[in-house]
Amino acid sequence: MAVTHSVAARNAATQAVINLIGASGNLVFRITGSTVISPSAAAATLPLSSPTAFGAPSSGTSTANAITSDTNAAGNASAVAFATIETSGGTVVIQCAVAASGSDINMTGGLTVASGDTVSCSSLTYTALSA
Amino acid sequence: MSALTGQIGEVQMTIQITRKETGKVEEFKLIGFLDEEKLKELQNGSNTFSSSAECSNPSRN
Repeated sequence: MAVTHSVAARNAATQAVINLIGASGNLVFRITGSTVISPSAAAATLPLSSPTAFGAPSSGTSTANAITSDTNAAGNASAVAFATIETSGGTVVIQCAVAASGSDINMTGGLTVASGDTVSCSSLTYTALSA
Repeated sequence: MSALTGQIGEVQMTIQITRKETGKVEEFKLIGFLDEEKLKELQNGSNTFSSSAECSNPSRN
C-alpha cells in the first residue's frame, strides 16, 4: 500500500531538504560508484545560486534558481552515472542515478563529459515526495 | 505482511553540453529517482509508478 501525503506535507518535506543545501551549493555530475558518504569522481561541477539555491516549493516541487555553467569541466572517460546536489562544503544532500543502459530511450555510450567541455543546466527541479 | 511504501522523490533537469572539440551543443533531459532500486525497476520495465524514460537525449533521437 502506497502512502499519500498532503500538499502541505510534500512542500514541507521538500523545503526541509533544500534547507540543508544552505546559502550556496553545487550540482555535480559524477561517474559510477558514487555514494552519499563517498562520492565518486566529478565530471562537472555547476554552482547553484547564492544565497537561495531553490525557490519555495509548490505542489511539492521546488525549482532551482539560475545555475552557473561549468565552462571547463573536469570530464571523465566514464559515463555520468549520478547527479548530486551538495553544500558548498561538499556534503551530499541529494544523490540520484541519472543514466543507465536499458532504459526506454537508450543513450548509446551513455552521457560522457570530456575535459574542457561546457556543461550548463537550464532547468532543475526537486520533489521530495511525489504523492 | 503488507509492505508499506512511500512515494519516491525525483530530480528532473535539462542540461546542455558544449563540446570543446567540435563546439556542438547536445541537450539532455534527465530524470533521476532518489531510490536507486526504483530506478532499476524503471530501467527493466517493471516499475509501476511511471513508464517514462529516466534519461533521454533529444539531440540523439
